[in-house]
Amino acid sequence: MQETLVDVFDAVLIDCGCQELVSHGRIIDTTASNSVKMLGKPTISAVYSPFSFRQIIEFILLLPLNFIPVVGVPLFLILTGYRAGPLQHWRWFKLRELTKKDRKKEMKKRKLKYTWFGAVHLALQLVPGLSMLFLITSAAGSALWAAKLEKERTSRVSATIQPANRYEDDPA
Amino acid sequence: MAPASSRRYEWNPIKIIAGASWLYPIKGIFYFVGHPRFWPLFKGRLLPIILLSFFVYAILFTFAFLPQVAVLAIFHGPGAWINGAVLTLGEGSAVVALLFEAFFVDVSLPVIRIFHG
Repeated sequence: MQETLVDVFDAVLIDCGCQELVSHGRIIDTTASNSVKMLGKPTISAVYSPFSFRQIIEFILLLPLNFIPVVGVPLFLILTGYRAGPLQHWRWFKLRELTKKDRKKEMKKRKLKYTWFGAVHLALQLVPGLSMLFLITSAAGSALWAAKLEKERTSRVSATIQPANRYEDDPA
Repeated sequence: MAPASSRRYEWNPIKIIAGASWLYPIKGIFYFVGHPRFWPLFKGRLLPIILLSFFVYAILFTFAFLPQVAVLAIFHGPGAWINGAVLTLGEGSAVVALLFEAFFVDVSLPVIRIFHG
């Protein structure tokens, strides 16, 4: 499953013009006819989001929240989304070769946005039978978001260095 | 949740609406459905997932749904049916996720490939 999610994520990133970024994580066949066929062998581990026991445990522990009438269900989704949201951008952080510290910083910076993203993502997960399809579409969605953030980030970075220099990603 | 840290992003009202993060999972659905080149990525997984989740939900709704609704009904009347359904669906999705991770993990994990050159 993880590999499929990574493929979807990478292909959407390529569609959005972030091919350079994707090439940090896998070989890209530039002669292929579309973004999905362009995906080559991974050069870093193809993990979309790390399997988090903490997340599953929290999910199970928070399930009784659904007992509360009316507010229980949304509250449950938001609290579990708090954990699930940032993990949706794990692949993006990996492609950028962020350190653990930088990753935490990024997650904290958009904590609230990730929580909302995660809540919607988890609400979709409750649809019986379609949960795996929505896992994939959420990966596409998170890639669309990552591409947008990536553009904002690179334009910010290139604004601070001389325009003559081509931007090179060097997180070290 | 730390609303203070994302303050910087919330000044521009246009940006809030256009870039609302909670919309992206929905945008993803339309993107995936609207671009047929992505469909083959899902096809291979479709059957085992549908079978697995069908069995899990069938079992849960047969044996776990009614008792939970009964317990819920003690605390809040007719709303128990809705809360009970969400509760059971949540349990089902946790079970499916765990089972899927346990039995259908990709054999060709690239980690192995890297270590073997």
